[in-house]
Amino acid sequence: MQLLEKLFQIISKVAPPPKFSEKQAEMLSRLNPDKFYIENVRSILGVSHVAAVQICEAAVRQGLFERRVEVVCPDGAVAASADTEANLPETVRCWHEEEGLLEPEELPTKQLEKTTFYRLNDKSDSLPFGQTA
Amino acid sequence: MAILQRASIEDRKRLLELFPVANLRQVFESKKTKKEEICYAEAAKRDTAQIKRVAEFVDSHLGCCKQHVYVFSHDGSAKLPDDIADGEKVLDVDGKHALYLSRAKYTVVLRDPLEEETLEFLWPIRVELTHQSQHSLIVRFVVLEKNVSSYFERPAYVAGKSLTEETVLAGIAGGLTAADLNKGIKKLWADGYIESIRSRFKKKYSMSSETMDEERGIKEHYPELYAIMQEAPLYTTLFEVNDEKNSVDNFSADPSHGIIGFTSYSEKGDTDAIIRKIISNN
Repeated sequence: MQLLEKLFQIISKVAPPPKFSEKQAEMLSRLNPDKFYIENVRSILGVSHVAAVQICEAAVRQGLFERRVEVVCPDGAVAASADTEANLPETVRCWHEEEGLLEPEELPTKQLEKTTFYRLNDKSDSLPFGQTA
Repeated sequence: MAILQRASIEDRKRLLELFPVANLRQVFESKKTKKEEICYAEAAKRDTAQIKRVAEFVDSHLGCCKQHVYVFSHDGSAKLPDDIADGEKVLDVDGKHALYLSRAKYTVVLRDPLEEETLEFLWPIRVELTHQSQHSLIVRFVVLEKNVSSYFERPAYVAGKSLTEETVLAGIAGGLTAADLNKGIKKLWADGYIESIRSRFKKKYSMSSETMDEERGIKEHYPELYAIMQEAPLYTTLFEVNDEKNSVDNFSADPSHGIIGFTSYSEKGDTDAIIRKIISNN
């Protein structure tokens, strides 16, 4: 429930404190603290996409979440991730199917789609609530 | 070996270029440094001893090449074919395996300026018979170069091929059933010898697929899904090889259709060991 508590703190800052249902608490507990997307947060809280972005970005500013970026191959596979786009590798290995078998291809990262995701900041426990990291 | 003897120097050069340069250097003890130079020098010799040497090199180093491997089941009566589509048998080793060369013609469209050309390859194909837990007939095709631009030093595209794997297989294994390799592959997966990072597999009411982020292992990260997959027919699946002694990093397979694909060179010919392990555990 560590994530639940932190998220609750963040939401309290940007919106009236919500009342979590048991179902929401369970959904939150199933979230992977090492990788979650805006849509994960939006669906659990039942808020709009814009509000979910605001909540996640407020959490990043407060040092509770880390924002990261991943590069996505043409078939949707995530090839690599980093803290910023600049730190992604220049090329990544993607795979495509040819006659029932998989063939690798090295593609330039700049030509591929990037997706933002978040993860819980392990070091955020030491930050007093409300302090900006 | 008439096909090798009659072939042009360019044909034999392209044949040798299908193999890793380290193997070429080692076997032909060439002092030349560039792969192209070694291949040309060896292809230019056409005496009987050299032709035999080239055939034996192709046969013994086929496991180092990029390959498509098809495994078929039979009742023990299958024999090595005497000939092959658009080619001939080049070597026969005790009736257990044979090397064939087929002549494959690519129609190539060149740009700047627009032109049409033909590119010919001597295509190495090895057929093996095994009689381990089951009787298997294994057909191994070396994957020919896909980037034909390198042969013309200008943009080029393959517009057509005179021969396909399907045509060759119809002549060799027509009437045989594709082997189901699920048991052998899953045993290697369970033992930790291989790990899958993406797969298509059949669930009760659907065809499902899993593609792991950043090539993470399914068994390691999704043990519940792995348990489901151990009971499901696997289709196109990518595996990483965890054996440090094996130089093959990964291979793909369609276990339910008896197909294995090696997409990179392996200097030590370690694809042989992987095929052997799959078949012996099947």
